Amino acid sequence: MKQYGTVLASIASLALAVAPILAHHSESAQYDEKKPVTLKGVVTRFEWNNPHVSIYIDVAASGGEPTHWLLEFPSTIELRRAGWTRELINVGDPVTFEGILARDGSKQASARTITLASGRKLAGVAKQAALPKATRMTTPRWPDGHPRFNPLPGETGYWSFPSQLALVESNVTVKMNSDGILANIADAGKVAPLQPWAKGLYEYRQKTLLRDDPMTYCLPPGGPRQFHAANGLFILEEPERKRIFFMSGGGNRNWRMVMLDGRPLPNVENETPGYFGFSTGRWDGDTLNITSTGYNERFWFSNGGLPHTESLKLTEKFSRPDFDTLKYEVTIDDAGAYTRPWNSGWTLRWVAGEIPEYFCDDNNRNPYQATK
Amino acid sequence: MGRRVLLLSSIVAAALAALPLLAQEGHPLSGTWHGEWHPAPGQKTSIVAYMKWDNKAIIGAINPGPRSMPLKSVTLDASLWTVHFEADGKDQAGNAVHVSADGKMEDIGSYNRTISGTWTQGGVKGDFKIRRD
Repeated sequence: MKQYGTVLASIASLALAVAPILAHHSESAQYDEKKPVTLKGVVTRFEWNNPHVSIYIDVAASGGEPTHWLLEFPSTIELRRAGWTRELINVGDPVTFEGILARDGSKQASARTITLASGRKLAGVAKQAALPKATRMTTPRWPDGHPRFNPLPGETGYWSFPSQLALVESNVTVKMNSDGILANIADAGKVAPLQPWAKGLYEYRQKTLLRDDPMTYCLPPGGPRQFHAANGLFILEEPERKRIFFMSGGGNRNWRMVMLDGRPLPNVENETPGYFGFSTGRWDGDTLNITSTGYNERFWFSNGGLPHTESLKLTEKFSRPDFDTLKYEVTIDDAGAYTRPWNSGWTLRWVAGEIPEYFCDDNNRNPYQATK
Repeated sequence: MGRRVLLLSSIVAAALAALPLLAQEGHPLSGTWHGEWHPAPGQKTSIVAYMKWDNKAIIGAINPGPRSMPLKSVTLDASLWTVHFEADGKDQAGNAVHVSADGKMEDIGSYNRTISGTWTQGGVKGDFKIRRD
């Protein structure tokens, strides 16, 4: 038993893998990479949930009551990719855990690896799914000739693997991680034509490692962020009703509706601002053009924390140049936060299969939730 | 009856606890701020400040209502998070009064961020602190 009762503050640095990809919040806001920890204990509870799998262990203390630890892992979707199954861990199992400690000093840690009594070592970090092999097929089309964004009858599929993980003005190159945290904060002014207050706020959010991100407490990823969100998105087209839905695989399975029936945008002064605003679209050849307005200010419209205001107006262009690729281009026009309209864009890849179920609110343990 | 009051209190407390989820993430000064300033030791005067970013400037008023003092100018230095604002209005006796304040914003990422500093009203100076509702 003693072998399970030792807490080792590991001096040697762990072989820290890359931070979880496309997580619903920045790991570094909550956990400190510079504080590795090794814990040996016994599993008392195992929660196979999203957005984080949680394992609770008791670590025996010499001559005293055991300490209770909460070990946080990526989502079930990401762990499955890393070879996990729901039956791998059971209450009563002795385990050795390697990870990094919570910044707030609580008995909580984010996983890197976990080793079972059998000696089997499991990766505890998110594993990027393998990029699907390109089909090299041509663009599927509707009978009227428009490109088709949803699966052909009898088939399945959705869009994922965004080629860019945060909004950055086109033709600008800055280094940032998968959460949108800049490698060099001095690059903040290059990311977009920010007004002084917006630049200050963006830098603050960057310096605080995105800890105030509303998505941390599961508010929807509105605007362009929907096309960066974890677990991809499904595009549901209803030509007979002249509308299209963008349905997130991440967040809380949020969806956005775009009307294609020629109606004008509403007067937003008379409407309730929303997370996805009001959108209308029309086809221009092979490109679907969507204009949106009426956004509220309760969410971040990009990974990395670029600010926006209720003046935000988006012009988006969607095209499918081949079977495997969705091309997304966006013009951001927000006179409240930026000095001029600016452009960005990226591509997403077609993934065969059904989009997995994922609800951010299911098992969210964000410590800031209570204080925001 | 006591249980009903307790239940009602619990519901109100739960509702209040849920309120912070309605975060505002736009301009950091936008919103309604409550607090007080201290004209002299042991004295305090309530402040309500309403500010709104109109894409060019912060507009609004101190103590909106019958004795409203429209904000004349508001400046925010977002590199240091310092705030300066000025307003003109009338005191309770109907005399013209000028207000200026210099403060520092704290906890910028929080819905309930604060500004504290020095408040000058009609030649009287004191410290102040306001908190965003």
